[in-house]
Amino acid sequence: MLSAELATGLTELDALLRQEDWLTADAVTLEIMLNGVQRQEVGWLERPAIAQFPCELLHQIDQRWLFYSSHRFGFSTQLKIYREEVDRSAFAFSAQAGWTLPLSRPFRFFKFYDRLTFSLDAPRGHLPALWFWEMPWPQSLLVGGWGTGRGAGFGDPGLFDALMLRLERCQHL
Amino acid sequence: MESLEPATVVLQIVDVTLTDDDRDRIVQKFWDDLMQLEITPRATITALPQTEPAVARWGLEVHLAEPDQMVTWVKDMSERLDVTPAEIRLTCTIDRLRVQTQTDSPEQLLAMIPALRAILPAPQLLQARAQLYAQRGGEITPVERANLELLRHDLEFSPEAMEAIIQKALGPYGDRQAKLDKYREVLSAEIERQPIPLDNTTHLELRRLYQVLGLSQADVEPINQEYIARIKAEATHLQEQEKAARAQQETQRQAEVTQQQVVVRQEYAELYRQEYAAAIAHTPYPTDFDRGRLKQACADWQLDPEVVRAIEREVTDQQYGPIDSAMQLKYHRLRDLLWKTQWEAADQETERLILSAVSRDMQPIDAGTLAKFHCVDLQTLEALWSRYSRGRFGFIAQHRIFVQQAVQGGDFLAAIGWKSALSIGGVDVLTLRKAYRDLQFTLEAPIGHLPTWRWGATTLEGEYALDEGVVERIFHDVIEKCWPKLRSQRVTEVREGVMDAER
Repeated sequence: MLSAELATGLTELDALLRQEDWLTADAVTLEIMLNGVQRQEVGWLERPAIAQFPCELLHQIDQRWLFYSSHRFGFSTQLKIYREEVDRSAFAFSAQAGWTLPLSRPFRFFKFYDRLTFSLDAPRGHLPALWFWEMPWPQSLLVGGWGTGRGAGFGDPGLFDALMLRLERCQHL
Repeated sequence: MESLEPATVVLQIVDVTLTDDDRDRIVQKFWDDLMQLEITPRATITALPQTEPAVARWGLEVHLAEPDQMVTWVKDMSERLDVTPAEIRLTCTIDRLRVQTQTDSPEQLLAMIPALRAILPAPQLLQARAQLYAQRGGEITPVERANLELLRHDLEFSPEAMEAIIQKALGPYGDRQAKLDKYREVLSAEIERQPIPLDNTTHLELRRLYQVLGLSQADVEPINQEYIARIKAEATHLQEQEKAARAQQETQRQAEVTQQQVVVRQEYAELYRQEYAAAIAHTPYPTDFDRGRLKQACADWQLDPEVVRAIEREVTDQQYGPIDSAMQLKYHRLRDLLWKTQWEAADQETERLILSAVSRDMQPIDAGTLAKFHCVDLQTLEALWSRYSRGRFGFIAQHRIFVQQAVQGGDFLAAIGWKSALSIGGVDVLTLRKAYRDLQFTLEAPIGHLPTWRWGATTLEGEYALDEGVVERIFHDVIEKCWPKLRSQRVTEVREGVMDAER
């Protein structure tokens, strides 16, 4: 059973997605996810937390994104691309989902978060994205960013794979 | 029985003073009175016609079957004479003895009684009476005995002689009960002697027997009924025995039929086993043709679906490896994937099986949690992996490499190919843990390469491989727990390895 706080968050997410306020919905999604693994203080997700992320909550979030975007957005859509279209390559996925700058090859720098597309015109699997972007500045520096999240960094295939793996495992339940 | 001569009594009215009409009237009166006497039915009375017209001799002639009744007769006529005075002549004849008197005095008539008694054949009378009584009920009742006693007294016969007569009349079986017993005995003997029902001759003889014994049909009927009932009971008993025997035979026959059916079914089951084994000899998925054929066989041989499933399971286990589980896990998919040599999918399925059995919410697990995975299931995983890789993959293969590396002081993770090493001149200068995608999902992979331990990984990227501490715990706490022999092997080999190194 989900806590009341999480239920409220999901209701809010529902409303935002219905209004197609994709930007705020993405932010609320990260909030709910941090709340789900008690990392509100930390403010970002890392692999161990993702590996133990509650399947039920992941499913609830995923279903809402899928429903309101007609399967354009959502973790399941991301996993489908990751597994079936890019041979489980996080970099290839990032390129296909429009997360990296198109001209940056071979380095594939990630876009700054505010340059992402928050509409149904975005490529499939484009959202949710903030869970992947949000990180503290030392981590940002570590992945080649400018201390402002994932933007301009080289990416972190491990983190993306962790969520995809988590979703895969949860799907076996 | 000695025959008894009847007595004849002739009564004649000889009173000359009477007119013809008066005589006629008196004769008529005697006639009427005599007819009223109890003894009359056993007597025949005829009116005597006037034979000599000159001398009027009107009268009656009476034949008495029981001569002793003459005495009663005479007494009776004495009384009659008292009422109707007339001179009469009474002539009593027995055999060739005759007593005659002519008088009009009742007293004189009574006086002839002693003379009458004198001519009565006493033994014959008593014998006749005794026989009559004995014939009537088979025994002499007290009242009959009293009458006999009176008669004896009248006839002035000795008691001893009369007793002899009574005994003779009763025959060899003194009283009624003895006669009934005799009849019963004879009947019983006859029934013993011959099959039932008794033949007609026997019936007739039995009737003669009870008649001779002085018994009536009514007397012996209860005995007959008793025997009929006993015979019926015996017959019923026999019938029941026969019925029981038949029922037993039927049961036995049924059992034999059932046994036969069981044998036939077993034979069909055996045939089906062979058919199914042939159908899956080269593939766990029989062709549509084979499937139809097997289905038809099931229908034709009327095999129980449960039995069919058991056979198919058994044969499949035989040919494609058993998939026992102590945790209700289904290994069919894993077995299929391994049979198709889809190593990567099989590896993922292995993780799914392990996590769904021991992990909470499908979270990755450590060695301690893996130890909760049941040995039966761990052995099934091992058996399937090694079976389809011919011993190349599986936990035992990994353990072999682990011991080998422990003895040689090598790097286990590198040996099974989970690390890539950059070596210069045979010396590893740099080892990097491989990402999951870089592992080799083919039979050419190093020994022990699969199954991976992805069930412990948070991600399959970059830092996939586990550290050495976890490796040791997995082998010591999990693998060797389920295969204790591996532990002793390892201990021995490592000790010898150390000794070799020291030498």
